[in-house]
Amino acid sequence: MNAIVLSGIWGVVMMFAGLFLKSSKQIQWTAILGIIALLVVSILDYQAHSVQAQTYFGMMTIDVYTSWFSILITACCAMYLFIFHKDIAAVGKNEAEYFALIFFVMCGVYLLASYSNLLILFLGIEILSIPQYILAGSDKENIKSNEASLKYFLMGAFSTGLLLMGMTLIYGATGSFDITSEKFVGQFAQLSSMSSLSFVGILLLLISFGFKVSAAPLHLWTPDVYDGSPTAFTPFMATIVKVSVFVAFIRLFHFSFGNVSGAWQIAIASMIVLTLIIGNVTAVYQQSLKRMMAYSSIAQAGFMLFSIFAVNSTLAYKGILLYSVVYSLASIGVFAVIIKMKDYTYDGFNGLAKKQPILAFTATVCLLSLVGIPLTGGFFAKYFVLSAVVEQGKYIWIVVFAVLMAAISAYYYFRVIRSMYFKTGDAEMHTEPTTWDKTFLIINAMIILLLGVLPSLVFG
Amino acid sequence: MEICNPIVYHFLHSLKNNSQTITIFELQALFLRHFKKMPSQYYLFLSLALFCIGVMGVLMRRNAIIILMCIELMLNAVNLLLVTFSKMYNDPNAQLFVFFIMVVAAAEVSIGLAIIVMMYRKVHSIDVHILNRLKN
Repeated sequence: MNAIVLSGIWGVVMMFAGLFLKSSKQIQWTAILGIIALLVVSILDYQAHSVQAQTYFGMMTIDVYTSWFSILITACCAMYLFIFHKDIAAVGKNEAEYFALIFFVMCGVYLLASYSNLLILFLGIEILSIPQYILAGSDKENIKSNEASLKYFLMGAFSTGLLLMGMTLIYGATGSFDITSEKFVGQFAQLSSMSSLSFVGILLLLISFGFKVSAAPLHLWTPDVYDGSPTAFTPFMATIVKVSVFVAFIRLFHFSFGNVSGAWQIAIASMIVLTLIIGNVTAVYQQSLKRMMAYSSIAQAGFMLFSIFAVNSTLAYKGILLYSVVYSLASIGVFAVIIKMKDYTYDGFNGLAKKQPILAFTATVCLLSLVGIPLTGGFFAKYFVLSAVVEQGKYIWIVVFAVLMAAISAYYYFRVIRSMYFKTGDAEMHTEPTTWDKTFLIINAMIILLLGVLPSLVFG
Repeated sequence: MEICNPIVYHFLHSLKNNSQTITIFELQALFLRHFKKMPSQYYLFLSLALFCIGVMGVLMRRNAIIILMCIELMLNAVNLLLVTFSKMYNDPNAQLFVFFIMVVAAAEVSIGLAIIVMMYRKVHSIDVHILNRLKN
């Protein structure tokens, strides 16, 4: 996995770039060069690992699925950097460090995509989380950013403790950290042979996972953190990081705990119901668009949880891949418009369509995709994760419930579109979008529309 | 109490037999001999108790640094448990895991303290309840 090495090295390169490169433009280009190099390397990795291979002393398993996911997530991160690089540099004085931290997070993402040992899972989650605490607090003068950082840190460290306890108890029951080893597989072969330590271990892992992906009832930190963090970093935390935690845990829960799904499926089901209700209903009452997007990311996590809920279904894997890409691109697209505005409330968007038709159009496509309207990628993403559950025949009620909740979500997403198109007002801009921004926003919207017609493009 | 009693008994016994000549090494060997016999459930309960103390501390205390200490307590409870299981299974992997946890915990604490200092400079308090006041 050369991508892991390169992302780590490029993080260090970015730190030195901050030392030697004087102009902010050069630093931004170094970062963009890095993410393109990362994309190329992950594509080369994909071609090299057409068969399943083990590396790093058998602690990582690389197969087609993981390396394909690496490509997709790198592409999403590339899109994020293309659109947001100027805004990231504008957050504070130490712009090179922010890019460095983003590359370190990517290193964690690759580890999470391909671990086969609980140690790597732990390290991946930590490499993913620790830079984020800094990113959340990078706007040092702003008290909301400080608050977001402290809250995120305390919650994140706490959930790490729970994760470690879960891993340790599972180790106590199995005697191995390797999720492919016979001891491990044997312990989770059937429900009756499972020891009580493993039950508690799985539960603790689930709680920690809920914290990381902000599933209710463990979502309480999310709105404050996403709202308080600099707007340039919120889409990164809400999309790329969140979906890679999903992919990490889908691996654990399907491959390792798939046979004992009776032990945890009910817990996931209640998490889904709570997440969908709390995320969607609370988002309706928000006045700030940034905070609404934070709640919407909770609600979308509820849909992504379906892919974990539908055990050992190939549709679920396809669903999570498509959902990751579409949700990431759509959120990035919406945040790209939010960050250009002066006022983050709905009223601040009044009359945007007249003033900036391209921004309004791309935001509309992204919002429609988040609702799940046909002809956008979001429709097929929701369709795949939900049909994975329907395919299993049980728990149809939860699918019906999710569709109803998607209908509620239409209300608050359409409210933004109404503000932009049907209300008159002077949408004040914080920064004027350049041609570069508009180009990539249009490309972003086009990809979402393309995935709405040809969703099979992301299945590799 | 079953574990403690033989230790105390031997300790007193050895003191009586050759008084004043007991060295720290003998004492250590004495303790080790008895702790090796201690079944691993005891360690499991001990570290679970420590872990629960840590969790309760995180949930109930208001001082950010004490919360940080409670998180460390949770991590160290995990470390103790890992070493126990390592001994139980005769498998060095778990002890390696402990080193990784220590390193990560150190990194995490350095970040955390920096964040707390940043917060303190702003609001001159490390009370986490102040965060609720700042909401919205």
